[in-house]
Amino acid sequence: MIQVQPALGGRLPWALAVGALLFVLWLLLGGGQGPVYGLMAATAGAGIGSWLAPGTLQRLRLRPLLRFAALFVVRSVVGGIDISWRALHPAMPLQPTWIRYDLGLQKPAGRALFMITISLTPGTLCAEQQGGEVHVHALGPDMERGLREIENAIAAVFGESPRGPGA
Amino acid sequence: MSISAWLAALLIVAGTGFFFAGTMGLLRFPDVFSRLHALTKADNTGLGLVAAGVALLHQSWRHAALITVIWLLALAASSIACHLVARDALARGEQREEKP
Repeated sequence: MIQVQPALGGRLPWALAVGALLFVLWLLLGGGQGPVYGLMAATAGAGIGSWLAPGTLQRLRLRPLLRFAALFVVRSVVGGIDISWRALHPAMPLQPTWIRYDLGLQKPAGRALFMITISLTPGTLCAEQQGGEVHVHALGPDMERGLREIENAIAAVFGESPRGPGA
Repeated sequence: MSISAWLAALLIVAGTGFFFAGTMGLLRFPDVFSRLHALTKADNTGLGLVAAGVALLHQSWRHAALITVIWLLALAASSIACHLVARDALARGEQREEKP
């Protein structure tokens, strides 16, 4: 089990990452115009960001990240088709249930990603989180398997073991 | 029309279909939680398809990247908003609403 701590601590790496991200965004928005101004703005943004709201950089694994992205896109499309079918079907086949899902993910970033993702994937909606427990609204039975699949994919991205703390 | 333009048109039309279905769900579903399902999921898929179509029409990497950023931001916003509405509804003990 990998411990919950920043892989790359300190404010400087955070500021550099934020600055780089802001600069790329500037270049994208402006089509490469005014890079000097972009650099100044990105530097200012990075400085203020790491001063007021420093975060911790997570070491993300590229291959699991791509796998997660692919899973996300596929599940999104399935989720859209699923809900459209339920909405347009004359009888509206809804079997709402509540699931109390025990979250194995430890890192806050991973948990946030999980909560965002499950609301966008078929039949599940994150309503509440209390510690390691997530209160999920589901539109049908047997939705836990999909949740587990997403959780494991996210765990791999953050380098956590697939199923929660060993202790 | 070129093949890519046809493909883009197909994606955009399919995307609007999802928006339509999501709105139908919003109007037809009986309670807050089910309506949230309809909004977030159908709009996620719909916006993704429309965005892919528009990116294809533009034929530029910069626009494609920008559209992807917009899509991801909209997704995060819609999912978090959905979570907040659901949490609030849960706290109020909302179970079933009268169907209009």
